[in-house]
Amino acid sequence: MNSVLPKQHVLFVQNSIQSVFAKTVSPAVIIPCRKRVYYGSGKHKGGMIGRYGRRKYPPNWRVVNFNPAQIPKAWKPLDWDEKNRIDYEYESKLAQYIPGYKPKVAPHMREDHHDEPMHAIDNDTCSSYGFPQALALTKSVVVEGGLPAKLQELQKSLPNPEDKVIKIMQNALLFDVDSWMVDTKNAVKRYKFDNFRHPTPERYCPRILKEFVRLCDAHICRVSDKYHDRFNMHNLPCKTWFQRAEKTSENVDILDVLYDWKVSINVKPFMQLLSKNPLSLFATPDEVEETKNRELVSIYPKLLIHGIKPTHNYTPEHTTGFLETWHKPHLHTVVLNTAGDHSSKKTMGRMLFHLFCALHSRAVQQYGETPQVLAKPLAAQAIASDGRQFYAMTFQLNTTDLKDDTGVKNMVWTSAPLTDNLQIEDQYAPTLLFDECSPLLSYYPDYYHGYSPDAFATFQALWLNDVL
Amino acid sequence: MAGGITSRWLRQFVQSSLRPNQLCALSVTFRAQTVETQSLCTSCNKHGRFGHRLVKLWEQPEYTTKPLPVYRTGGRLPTKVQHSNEIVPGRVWTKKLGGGDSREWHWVDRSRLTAEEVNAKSYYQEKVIKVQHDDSRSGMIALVAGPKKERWILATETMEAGTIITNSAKMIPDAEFVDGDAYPVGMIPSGTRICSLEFVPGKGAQIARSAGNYGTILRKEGVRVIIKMPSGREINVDEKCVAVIGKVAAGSHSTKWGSPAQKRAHGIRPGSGRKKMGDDRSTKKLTPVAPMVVIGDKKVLQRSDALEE
Repeated sequence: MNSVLPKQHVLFVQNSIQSVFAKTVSPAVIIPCRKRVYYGSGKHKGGMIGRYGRRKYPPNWRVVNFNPAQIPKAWKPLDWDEKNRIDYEYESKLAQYIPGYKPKVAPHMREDHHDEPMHAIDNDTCSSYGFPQALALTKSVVVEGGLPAKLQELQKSLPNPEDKVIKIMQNALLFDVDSWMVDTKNAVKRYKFDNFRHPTPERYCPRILKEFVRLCDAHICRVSDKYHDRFNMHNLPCKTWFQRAEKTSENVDILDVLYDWKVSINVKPFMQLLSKNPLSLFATPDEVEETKNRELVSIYPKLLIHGIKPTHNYTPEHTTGFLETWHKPHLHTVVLNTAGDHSSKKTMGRMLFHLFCALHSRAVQQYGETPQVLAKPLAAQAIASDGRQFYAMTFQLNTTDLKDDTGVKNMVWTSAPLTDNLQIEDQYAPTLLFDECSPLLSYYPDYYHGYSPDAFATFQALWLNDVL
Repeated sequence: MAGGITSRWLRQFVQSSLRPNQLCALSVTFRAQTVETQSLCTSCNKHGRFGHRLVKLWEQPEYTTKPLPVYRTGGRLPTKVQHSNEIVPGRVWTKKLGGGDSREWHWVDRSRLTAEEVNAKSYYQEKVIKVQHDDSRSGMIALVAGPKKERWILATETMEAGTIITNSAKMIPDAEFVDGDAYPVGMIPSGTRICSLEFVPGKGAQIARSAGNYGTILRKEGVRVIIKMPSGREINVDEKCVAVIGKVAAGSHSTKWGSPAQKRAHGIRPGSGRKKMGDDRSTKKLTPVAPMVVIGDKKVLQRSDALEE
């Protein structure tokens, strides 16, 4: 064989013989013959010259994975079921012989299995339900007039260092490492006409938020001594669960639906500001009593648990992320990184779930698990941004009794001017820090335009509330 | 082998040429379609049309409203690679297929009301979020939010974003049979136009699903209902089969191809042109309308008792 063929084909012959008898198939296998070109270049691309004519596919096509059209494998592999099947008996036997092995157990045999399902909201899914559904679930009502009057006064009275805020913006967006040096997944294309953002909001958003916090804390140190009464925590988990009921409407008869559900919320906010003293309330007791006459938002024909997946494996618990002996237990503000969220209606829902989870877990620790109207309500604030769009919200928890739609309700204030019809998306307008800021804007003097000082003013007002 | 293949000997030939393990995508078309396998059936794997586009439904553990990518087979059947468990396109099965724009496949729910809901006489309403065209069918589809989840359904002509549609198997006084509502066929008054009709209760819609098509309810005979299909043929079905009132929305769909470029963008390659030469070999036969089809649990066999008598 080797004497007949020229030397350049010898290596390919050996590789082909090995691949035929081996179970692993190599991607490129060339058959020994005279001048056969499968992956050719130039004149003979795709074709062949010589003995076998213009055959475009190899004769051993059952062995070779020859796919010049790059048709992906759409059919199910034969071993797909076996690979994804879990043999629970085999796993239990492995646990007997392998020390420290944690076997996979069937869901109905686990220790945390319950007959009654729990509808779970996680950090990833809390931004997929929307603001109206969050209001209905948490039995809360939107107060008209924007943010509370106290915060609106702080927005105007506090100093606004525009020069420093613009420098922060430029540092985060213009003077950053090239995106393709950080890109490990090859998601950035290096062509002129490709619309890429340099850098991405996942990179500049946390930087802008941390610099804003640093600016606000510097102002506190200049003016007062209350800097050490507060503590900023990152990625602190928070869990709670509650029972929520709904009345059936006329004639509606859905199969396998119980109008009394268990709902759990499990979130991990980007930043949490904790303080020694609780935040002052935003509503008077008279305003809290007036909420009895107001009606909740109706999301008919959706149910309150629309889109929330039920699970039978759960551990019901209430946690704030730290122990009861922590000396700064009261929540002041929650800061969220919403880079990647495109819908403003859903970011508002996400903020509400974070606030409700944090305050409900604290209320249960203080007053117990029995649902009741709180003698001393709890209040907190939330800021969400993706570096460019800023949302602000304040929440006051008045009740933990969520079995009825009647009675005292919780209250929400938002920076966006909302009307009675909450289904309209155009009214959820965020405050923009800038319209555009990138090194491609060479025709603007400082490579940005559309800067507005309102974004930092709201951030500062919420961060310095009850401090000055 | 262009077009539909319904002959029995061809099915047996294909079945015998492939091993049972290889009938991963085709086995669904041979077996009787139950409610469990209904979710694995797509319009791409229709009965008899082999070698068309595929969707990786076996990777999806449950229903999703996300659009899924569509993979091409080039009109080729699946074949097993030697010494591995992979399946790749092999020999040609259908010609005139290839190329075309890339498509996205939306998982359209064929059954507006399941058999359990019909037996339990359930009633619920849904809100339409949006109506749009679909790459894999001629009719339009609508994203609809129900009490528990969102889903895609076939849209009727009058559907718009914000409308509320009803799905009920319960007789309600003063019920209005409006376009877009789904009821069992026994409840709908005779003379109404319907679409996406089931043949067997609980199986899913099978007839009148393409753009602009509709059927009409002619009369009722006890537990059975007689319906006229879009082809003009009559059919006798159980009263528990669910149908939707109205015509399927067409949008900008037209029965004629504007140009050969549109055909190539759809994925149809040129043919031989033999059928359009004007000979007597290929002509359309005018046949009378076939008699009514009765669909029930048991097959109707022709017996020779009448001749003996």
